[in-house]
Amino acid sequence: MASGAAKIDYDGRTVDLLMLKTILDAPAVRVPVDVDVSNVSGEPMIVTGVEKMVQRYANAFITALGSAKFRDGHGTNLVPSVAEGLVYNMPTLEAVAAEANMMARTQTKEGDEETDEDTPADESLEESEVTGLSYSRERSRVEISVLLTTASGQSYTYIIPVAVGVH
Amino acid sequence: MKTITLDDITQEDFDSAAQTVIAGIKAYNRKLDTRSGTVLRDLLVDPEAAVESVVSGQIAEARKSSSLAMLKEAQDDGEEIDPEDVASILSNFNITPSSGTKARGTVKIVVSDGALAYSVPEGAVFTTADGLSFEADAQVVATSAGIRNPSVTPTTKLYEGAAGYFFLVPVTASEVGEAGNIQQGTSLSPGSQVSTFVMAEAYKDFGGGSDTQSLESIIESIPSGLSIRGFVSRTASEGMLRAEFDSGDNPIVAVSSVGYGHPAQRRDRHNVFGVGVGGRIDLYVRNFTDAFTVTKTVTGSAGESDGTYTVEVPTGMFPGACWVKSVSDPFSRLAASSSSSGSVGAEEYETVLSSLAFTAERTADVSGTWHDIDVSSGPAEAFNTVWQGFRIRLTDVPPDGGSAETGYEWSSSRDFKVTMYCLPQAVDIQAYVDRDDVRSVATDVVVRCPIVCSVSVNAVVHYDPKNPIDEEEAKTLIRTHINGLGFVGRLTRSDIVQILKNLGAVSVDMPNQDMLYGTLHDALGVAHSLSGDALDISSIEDGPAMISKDTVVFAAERGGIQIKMIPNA
Repeated sequence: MASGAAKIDYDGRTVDLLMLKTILDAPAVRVPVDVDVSNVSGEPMIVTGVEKMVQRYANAFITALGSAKFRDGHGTNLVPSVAEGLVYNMPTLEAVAAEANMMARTQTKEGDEETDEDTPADESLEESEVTGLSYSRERSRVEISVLLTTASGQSYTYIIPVAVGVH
Repeated sequence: MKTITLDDITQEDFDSAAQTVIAGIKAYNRKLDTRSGTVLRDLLVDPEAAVESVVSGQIAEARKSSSLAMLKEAQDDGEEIDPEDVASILSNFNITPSSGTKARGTVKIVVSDGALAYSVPEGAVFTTADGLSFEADAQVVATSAGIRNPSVTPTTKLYEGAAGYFFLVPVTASEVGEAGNIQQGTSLSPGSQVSTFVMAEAYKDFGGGSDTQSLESIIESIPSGLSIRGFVSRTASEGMLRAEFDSGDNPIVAVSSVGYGHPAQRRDRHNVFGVGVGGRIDLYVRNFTDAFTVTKTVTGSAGESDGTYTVEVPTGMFPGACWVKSVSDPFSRLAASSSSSGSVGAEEYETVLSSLAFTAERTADVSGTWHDIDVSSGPAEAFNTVWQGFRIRLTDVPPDGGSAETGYEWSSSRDFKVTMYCLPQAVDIQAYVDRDDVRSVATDVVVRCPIVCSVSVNAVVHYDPKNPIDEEEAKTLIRTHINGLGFVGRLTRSDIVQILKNLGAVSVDMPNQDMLYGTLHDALGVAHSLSGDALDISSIEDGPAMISKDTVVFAAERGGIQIKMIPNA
């Protein structure tokens, strides 16, 4: 789920595959991918601009640290901590989410520096902050709200749902 | 060839492959974002990079496995090389690498009760403290000569020794390798119980063990492997012998061809003008590292004087013999006991195995061969071939009868154990070069054992007490170096010093002229000695006596390497 998406000029930008549809606001532009994906259910989309930056942040945030070979530094401890039952109350979740935010921010910024072309200011992450945690016992999940601010000054609040298996 | 998996891939390899994949993607569509954290990176670039790096690794492995130079480089870097890769490359050149040979020897088992029968089954294991194991070649049943037991058929005698009784068990190393050439007296433990067992040890130095052919040696052998097959050049001659014998028990160390125009080639001057006409080749083959000896019992006839005997060693008894190493009387226990005050013990029994005083001369019988060997003026042309014999004259032989009171007696004929330096498989090699489908129609090839220059080394080694040198290792390395040489013609002090310095010697002294000492017997039977800073065969080169750097090899035995270790203050 996302809110606060701005209108983006997609010309001359690099694109990524859309992983999390929750990143996109309803009115956002969706462009079909120009490859043969006949066996893929649903219509794969590409994403760019600030949504692409958010997706990179979200990717790092919810990836289990060390789960990808040769990418030991990619991801955070959020999901492993939840899966191993180490998050047993809201203060713990707050601490884990804060650490995950810091790691995801660092990795997203490092990714900004990888390209040999100038990254547009609205695709570069400037700051990220965990702004809220809510717990739904009925749905056995928590939702982590993160406020992402781009180098161009745009703000974007992304709400990350995490299943916690609480009964 | 090793199969490469993702576990063999380094981060550097993976990152490099990822960059290659990204470059390919960007070339296809530069709008695709492949930075870390993107979905394209996770789902497209990284999996493809993983596959790419494994494929690249396998290709590199395949390239390495098809190049001896690259295999050698990898081995020098500490990688383990698959022998099948080496064999596969060599098969292109019709070369088969030597897989090494097992050491053989005899185990002496000492027991305390002389009245029992002892049995060691075939395959019984004996192990050294270092973990080397040896297996009995066949079942051995030993009893004392005086014991009669119809239910036991002895295969060997139970001898009386100083520490009880002993019997001997021929064994072969369980694994190939030079490490199996253990020294006389090395302690061994039997794998199964032996009644009244006291101890077991190597009866004599073990021999015949050789390591799997090294990559260096294999690379050196390729030119001969590629040469034209026929006795037309030195490399071709060597190549033919290597192809036939390198995979056997006695792989070739070096081959020297003495042919037309060589001062040591006497056979091609059989004409009224005495000039070389070609067509005769003498192949000197070194297919042994440690000097190879053969011991047989030969009957001698008493001479005119007491204590003198003549032992005729006929052609064929020691084919390819180089010279006599020793002659002993295995049954002179009477003599041994009469010359010592106590009872005859094992040490005394073994003492008589040391050599009696002797002189030797070469003989020859070439009546059965078509080869052009002229022995009308002496046996020199047959020297060190399969057609050579020896006449050995013994002096100061102890009596084998009588006593001090009645007067000593010498039998008119007695058996002696004769030990010769020989060329292993001399008959086989000569038969091979004589085969109709092998020999050239224009050449007459005779196989000879090289003249063995028996080397002794005497060195004083100064070392840092904080960095001690293993004396046995030093001796072994020096011996291995000397015995691995081909027809080099020269052995120098600096060769030995370099080995010792590589082991950590601070300095090496040459206290006297015995630092290096060598002896050899030429084709005429004349003994030559060399000593000093270098053993230089060219200093005694003699064509008629067939001494040349192309006919002589150096060999050192264990006892010939003397090293005095002195720690620096």
